[in-house]
Amino acid sequence: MGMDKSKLIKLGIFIAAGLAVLIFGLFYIGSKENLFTKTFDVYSVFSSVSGLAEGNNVQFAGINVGTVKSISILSTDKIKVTMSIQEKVREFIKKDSEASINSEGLVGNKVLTIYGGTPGSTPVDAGDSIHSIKPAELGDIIANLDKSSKEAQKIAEQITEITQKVNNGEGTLGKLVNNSDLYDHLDSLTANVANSTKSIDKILAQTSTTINSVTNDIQSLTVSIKLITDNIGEITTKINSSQSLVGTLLTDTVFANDIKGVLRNTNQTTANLEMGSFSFYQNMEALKHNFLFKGYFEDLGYWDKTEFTNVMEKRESRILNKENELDQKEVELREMQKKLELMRNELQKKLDSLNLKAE
Amino acid sequence: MGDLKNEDEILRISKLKKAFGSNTVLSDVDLNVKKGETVVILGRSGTGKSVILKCIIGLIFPDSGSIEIFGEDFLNIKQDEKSKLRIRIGFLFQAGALYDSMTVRQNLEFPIIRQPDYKKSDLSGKVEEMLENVGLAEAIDKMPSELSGGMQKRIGLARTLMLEPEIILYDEPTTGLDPVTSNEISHLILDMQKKLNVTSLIVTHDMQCAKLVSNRIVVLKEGKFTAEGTFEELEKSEDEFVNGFFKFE
Amino acid sequence: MSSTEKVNKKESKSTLKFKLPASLEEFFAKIAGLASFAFKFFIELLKPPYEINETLKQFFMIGYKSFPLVAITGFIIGLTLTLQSIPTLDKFGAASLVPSMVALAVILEIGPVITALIFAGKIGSGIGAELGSMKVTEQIDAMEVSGTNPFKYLVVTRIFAATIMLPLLVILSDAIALFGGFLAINMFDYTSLKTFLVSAMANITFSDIIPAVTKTFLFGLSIGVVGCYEGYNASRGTESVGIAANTAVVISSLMVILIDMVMVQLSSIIF
Repeated sequence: MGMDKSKLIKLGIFIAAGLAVLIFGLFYIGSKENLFTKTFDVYSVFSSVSGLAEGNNVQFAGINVGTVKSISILSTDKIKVTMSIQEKVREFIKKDSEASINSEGLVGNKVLTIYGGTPGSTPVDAGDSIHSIKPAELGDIIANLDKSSKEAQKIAEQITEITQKVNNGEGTLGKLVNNSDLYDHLDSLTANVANSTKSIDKILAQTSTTINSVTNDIQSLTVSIKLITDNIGEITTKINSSQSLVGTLLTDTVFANDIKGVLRNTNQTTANLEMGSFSFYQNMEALKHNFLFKGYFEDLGYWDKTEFTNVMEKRESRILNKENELDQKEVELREMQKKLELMRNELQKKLDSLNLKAE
Repeated sequence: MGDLKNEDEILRISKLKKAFGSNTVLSDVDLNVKKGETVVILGRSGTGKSVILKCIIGLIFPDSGSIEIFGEDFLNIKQDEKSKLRIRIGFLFQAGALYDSMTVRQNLEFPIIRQPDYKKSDLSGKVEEMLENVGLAEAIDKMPSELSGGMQKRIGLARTLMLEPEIILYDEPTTGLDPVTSNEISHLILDMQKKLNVTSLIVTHDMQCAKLVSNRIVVLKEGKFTAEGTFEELEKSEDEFVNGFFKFE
Repeated sequence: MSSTEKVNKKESKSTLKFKLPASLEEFFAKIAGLASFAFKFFIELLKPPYEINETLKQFFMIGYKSFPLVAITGFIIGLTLTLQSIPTLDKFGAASLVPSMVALAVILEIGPVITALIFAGKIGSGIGAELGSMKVTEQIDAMEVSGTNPFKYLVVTRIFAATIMLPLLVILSDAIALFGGFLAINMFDYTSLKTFLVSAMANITFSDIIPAVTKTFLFGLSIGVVGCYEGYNASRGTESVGIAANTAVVISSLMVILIDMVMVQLSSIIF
């Protein structure tokens, strides 16, 4: 009937232990779901959320700082993602921070990542909007390459323009070309430039179709531009030997500005290529880390050679080939980038020497 | 039974009927018990003697008839009224029905501390006193499983007496005990009657016991009381059925 | 036993207008019996006086005394579940998901159900046999005639204790199972307890915990109700004690599985 004290104590310990585990669990999960910590809401608008769901984590510098609170469709390509973020990290998230949707872990749990923003700028307030970054996709990379080729086209056009101007005897350089003993050399230069323009045009026709042709064409573009620069080098030599015309030539602002424009465009192209190759690299990494492919790679030759396995292996080798191809592309792009960089430097050097002469 | 209709009657049973399925156990039972009287019910096994007792205490609900205890219509009163009446009725079960998860002391305390108007002072010394009454004072802290059948019955009686009932129903108090112990129990019943002046209704086959304790004996046959009288009267009965109980005297 | 054995047999003949097979009739009669028993439990639970001492005692007997059995079961389940998951998930390069998977499986399903089944085996049969033998030896009748309410004293306390103690046991068993999982992972690799817990709880939310805990109350309630019902309604005779215990285990185990099914469906609708 009655309970003696030792039994009561045992029962008490038992109940307390159970409740302790329960309370610990509730608070642990609660803190994970930010139920017991102060939070604030910000939102970001995406064109696609790529499978992000309510309750997914929000990361800042790789730390979980909150969860996705709600996802609502504003219009066809505007998806509003509201996230609730711990108050204590608010000071680190700036008004110009950016948000993107990435994959987390091996099985591709989606996670919303917030990137830092400029140090020193104002922190976000509750209810603010954070600018979104579109996640890198293959389509974007191709678009980037397209942009690169367009920039290359611009360079070519500008070079053509300069050449035309020179041909037409516009500006001092034109006069120079038409009147002086440098004429012949300049003539051959223009011919070369015209040639390269043609070949560049040809390249550009093919660029947008495949990445491959882009690579090759830009390579030949490189050669052409090299020629141009060589020719410009020659011009410089000529200028050096012909004192009387130099001043006139170098005060010609049209020519100098045009060359500066070329230089700027080359810079832009280099940047675009860099972006393209980086995106490629990202995709490759993603592919390598995709857990399905990873499984194939690791279990190569591990399973029985059943029909299924053979099919899978064939697929796998195709994937491997693709990967190699893409790797090669990446290397090529990097080479191109390097070459363009060299060219840029050379052009810069030439320009500098021209400027020097002008002084 | 006309001569029994006086103010002292504390139990009146009339036209009691009970059937289990197609088996009619009680067909027409009438019984009146006066205050201070000890009535023994005789009858063959399985003829429903215990059923009468259980109808009186309310463990079994009869099909028809009426039971009046202390002037109250027992079959048609509310549950809490019934509980109050029950406290005034003691019931000694065949095997004692001790709560085997409790000590003897806890067994005896159990009914008392659950009464609505229970006060701690009600209990002081009472357990010891009741155990003294049944001669088992030393068993106070034992578990029921440590006690013999006779001892269990005595503790059961002590527990029944704790509530100071005015009427005690004994369901075969001596069955399954050796003659010496049976005799002890019979004497104990007699002692209690003398000491506490309780009314008793006893179901038994034990003629020794019946002879010792009874003021009056009724004989149950085919669901009715067919004979009635003192032990001495019935002993001389011509009826073959009644005689059967006294044959081996 | 003399007359009592015969007279206490339940009436088996029904007075239904339509005919049903005997087993079906019994089945429906049992459902009605259990339902009214459970209903009576709730009514008596709320009515004073309260049997606090006896309830504490039943907490001790039903909760504390079941703990070792439940703890061992939980530990082994956590350990083996983890040991078996590691090679399988490793094949998919997802070995890091083992703690999370084990935690989900243990907290949502295996912990509550296995603990409840063990509990049904131990407590369901215990209550069934205890009350059954009390019924057979007329102890329940004895309480009744002494003006105490045996339902309140015997049944309400036990059902209440089972309802409250099972969730507690499940929580502890879950914790021990996770600890078993932690040890299993450390057989392959070194992980700190904190890392393990963080990754185990990574995918657990309140909408997982709440239905998982709620259903354990229902498991406990049904085990208590069935055990008490079977014991309390045992017919006379020693063999009926065994029958009561056996039936209590069978029915309460079945109830656990059925409630689990219904609750999973229900919680998927609500959450």
